[in-house]
Amino acid sequence: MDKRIAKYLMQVEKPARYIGGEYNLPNMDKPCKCKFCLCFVDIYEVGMSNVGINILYDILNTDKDIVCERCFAPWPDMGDILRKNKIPLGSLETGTELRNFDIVGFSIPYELSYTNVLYMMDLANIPFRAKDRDESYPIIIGGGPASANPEPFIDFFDAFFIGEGEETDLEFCKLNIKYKGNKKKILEEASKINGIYVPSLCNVVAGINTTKVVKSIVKDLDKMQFPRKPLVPNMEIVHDRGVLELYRGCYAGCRFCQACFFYRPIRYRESDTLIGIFQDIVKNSGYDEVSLSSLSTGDYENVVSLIENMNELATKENVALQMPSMRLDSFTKKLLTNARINSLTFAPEAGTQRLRNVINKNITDEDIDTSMKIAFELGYRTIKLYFMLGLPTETDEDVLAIVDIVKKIRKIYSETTKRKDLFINVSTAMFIPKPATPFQWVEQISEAEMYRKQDMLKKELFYIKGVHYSWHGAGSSVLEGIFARGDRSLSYAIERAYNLGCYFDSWSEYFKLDLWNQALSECNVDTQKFTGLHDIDKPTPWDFIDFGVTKEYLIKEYKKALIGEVTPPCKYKCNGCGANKLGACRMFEGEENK
Amino acid sequence: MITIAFKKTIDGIYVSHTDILRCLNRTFRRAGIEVAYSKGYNRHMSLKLTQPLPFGIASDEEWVSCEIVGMITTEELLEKFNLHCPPYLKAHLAYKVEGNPNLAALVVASDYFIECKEAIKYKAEIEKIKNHFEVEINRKEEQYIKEVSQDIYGLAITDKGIYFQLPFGNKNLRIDSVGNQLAKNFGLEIDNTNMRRLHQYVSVDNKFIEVSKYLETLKI
Repeated sequence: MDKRIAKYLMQVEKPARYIGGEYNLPNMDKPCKCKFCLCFVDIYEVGMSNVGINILYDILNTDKDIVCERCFAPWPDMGDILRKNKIPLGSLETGTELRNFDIVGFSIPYELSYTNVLYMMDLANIPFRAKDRDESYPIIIGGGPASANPEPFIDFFDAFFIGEGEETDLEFCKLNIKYKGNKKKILEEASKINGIYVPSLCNVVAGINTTKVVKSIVKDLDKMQFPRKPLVPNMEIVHDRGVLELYRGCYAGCRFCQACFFYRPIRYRESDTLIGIFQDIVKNSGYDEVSLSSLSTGDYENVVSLIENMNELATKENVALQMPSMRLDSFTKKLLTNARINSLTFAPEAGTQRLRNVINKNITDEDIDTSMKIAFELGYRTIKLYFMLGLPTETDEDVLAIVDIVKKIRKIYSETTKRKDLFINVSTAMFIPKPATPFQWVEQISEAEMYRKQDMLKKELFYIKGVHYSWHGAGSSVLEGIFARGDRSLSYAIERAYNLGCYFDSWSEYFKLDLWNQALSECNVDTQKFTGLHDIDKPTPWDFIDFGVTKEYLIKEYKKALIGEVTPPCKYKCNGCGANKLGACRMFEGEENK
Repeated sequence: MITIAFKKTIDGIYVSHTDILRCLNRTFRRAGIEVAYSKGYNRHMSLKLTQPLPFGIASDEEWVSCEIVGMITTEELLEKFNLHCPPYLKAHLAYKVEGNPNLAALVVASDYFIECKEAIKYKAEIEKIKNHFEVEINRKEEQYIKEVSQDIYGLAITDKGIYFQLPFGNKNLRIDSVGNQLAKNFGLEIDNTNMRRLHQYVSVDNKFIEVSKYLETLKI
C-alpha cells in the first residue's frame, strides 16, 4: 500500500480502492532492470475488471527483469486529498511516484476517458505534452481499445501502442533495458516494432500522419500466457469473478461495432487450454463464478461441448459459469445450464429487420422469438434488451418497432408461462460512428435528434407494464462522436476542458457538458467536421493505421449497408476482410484447408 | 459446525464486512476446505459471521461459523486457512461444536482498546463518562445525541490508551461513536484506525463469558 496516503484513508469513500495487497500479488521486491507502471484511467473497480490490464500485469511481472505496478485514477475525494497535501500520485503496490518509473503506460478504454489521462498526469506532476518532458521523465505510452484513433490525444504520449500489447509491451521494456536513459534511441528502435506508433518520428502532412503503423496482434493466442493466478481484489469490483478469454475477433461483422473489426483476425484458445486455465483460476483464486469472455461467446466453435466439459468441473467445484455476450442466434438451452443468473441480456440493436440488415446484425425476428421462448421455459423472468438509436438510415418506424418487440416478448412470455410478471429492461445507446468500421464515414445524428428519438420511446414504453427504459446521455454521445473521429487539433480542447474542470467524463455525476462546450468553442473546434458525413475519398486521421481489415472491405460493407444487403458471419465462409494478412485468422486457414 | 476465530489487522481494517465475507468464501475455496452450500436457487457458501465492525477498526477476534463437509481436524483447518488467506487475516482458534452456536444472536458485549497515550492525562475526566456521557450518533438516515453512560460496561485508562467494554448485538454501542466523541470532548487524536476489538462475550446465567470459553463448553 502507498504509505503516504494511509492516514487519509478514513476520509475517503471506499478506502479499499487504495490498499492493494490482493491475494496472488506478484513479488514486488525482486531486483529489476525496468520499472513499469500500468495506469488505468478509471477507478479501481473498473480497472480491475479489465481483462487487458490483468493480462499485461501478469505477463510483465513474469519477466525476471521487469516489475510492473498498477495505478488507477483516484476518485475525486482522494484526488483532492493528494492535491491538498501535495502528494504526487503513486503506484498502488508500493506508492512509488509515477515519475520515478521507467515507463508509465496508460490503458485508455474509451474516448470519454481522455481527460482522466491528464488528471492522472497532473496528480503525478508530469507535464501533459510529450514535447515538454525531458529525459528525467518516464516514457509515457498509451494503448487500449481507444487506440483505433489515437490522434486527438497523441500529443500527450511519447509512443502509442496500436493493437494487442502482450508482445509489444515486453519488447518495449526490453528496449528500455538495453538503451536505458536514452529516450530518443528507445523510441527510434520502438518505432520499428509492429504496433508502436511514435508520433515524434512520423511524417505529418496537413495535420494528418502519413507514416504507416501496422496493428500488432498475438498470432498464437493458444500459446499466449493468460493469468492463471489472477489477483483477487479485496473489494467488490464491477466484474467480480474469474475471467476466461475464449477467442479474439468476431465472426459477426456488425457494421457499427469497432471491436468486431479492430480485434480481427479471429484467433482461438483451444478447448483443452481453456479447461486447464479454468481449473487453475478456480484453484488459485477461489472464485465461485467464472465468466467465459469473448466478443460473442456463443459463436465459439464447439461451444456446447466446451460448456459441457466445463460444467462437469464447475458443478464439482460449485462454480457458476457466466456467458456475458450471447448473440440471439447462438442461444441454446445447453449453454445456460449451471448459469446462476436471474436475468438474460440480449442485444437486437434495431427494431426492424430492415435496419438490422443495414447494420448487419444477423438475427431475425424468429431468432428473437425462439430465444425468448427458451429463456422463459427455463424460468427467466427478467430480460434486458439493448438497442441503438441514430443508426444510419433509421426512420421513426424503426424506432417505434422497438416497442413492438417489447410487446411481442411480453406476449411470448404469457403464452409460454401463463403468467404476467415479466420484467423487461430496455436500454438504448446512441450510435457513434467509429474508426475501423464500415460506418466510419456516416453522419452522427444531432443532439436534438437524439433527444427526440429517446422521447418517442419514453412515451411509448412508459405505458407498458413491467418495462423499464434507460438511455445513454445525448451530450456525452456527441462528445464521444467528436473524439472518435477527431484529429490532432483536438488535443488543445481536451487540455482546455481538463483545465476548466472536466474529468471522469464517463461518470454522469461528473460529466460537465457546458464546460466541454466552452472548451470546444474557445479552441474553435468545428464539431460538425467530426460528426458530419465524411467523404470516403478523403483521408481520415486514422488512415495511417493498418488494422488488417482493408479500407476497400470497409467501403464495400458501407455500400452494402446503404442498400440493406447483409454479409453472412465469417464462421460460414471467409468474406475476405483482409485481417488474415496480419496472420493466423482461424477462418482464413479454414478456407485454405477446405 | 465449525467456529473459527480470526484476526483482522493491517490493511484489512479498510475491507468492509461484506467484502470480508466474500474473502472468507474464497479463502475456504482456495484452501480446499469444503464448506456446505445453501440449498436455494442462488447457491452460496453458508458462512455466519458475528456482527460487523465499523470501517477502519482492527480486531483480534472475529468469529465465523460454517458447516464443513467431510473430515478435517481443527488443526488442519487452521493450517490450510492461514496458508490461503490474505495477509490481513489470520485464524487462531477453531472449535467443532454440535449444531449452530448462532453467535451473531448470542454475543452481547465486546472489549475494545483505543490506542491513545495522552488519554492518561485526562483519566479523572474520562472516568466521569460512566456517570454521564452524550455521544453524537451519525447515521445515514438520522443524526441525534444519545446519553450512553449506562451502556459503558467497563472502562480502564492506562498510559497506552483506553479499554472499553460495550454492548454489542441487539443493544449496541459502537466503539467509533464513543472514541470519536472522546476525541471531540478532550481534543484527543483518535480516529477509527486507533481502535481495536479485543474479545467478544456471550451471556450465560447473566454472566459474560468470552466466546472462546463458551465454545469450549460446546466442543465435540
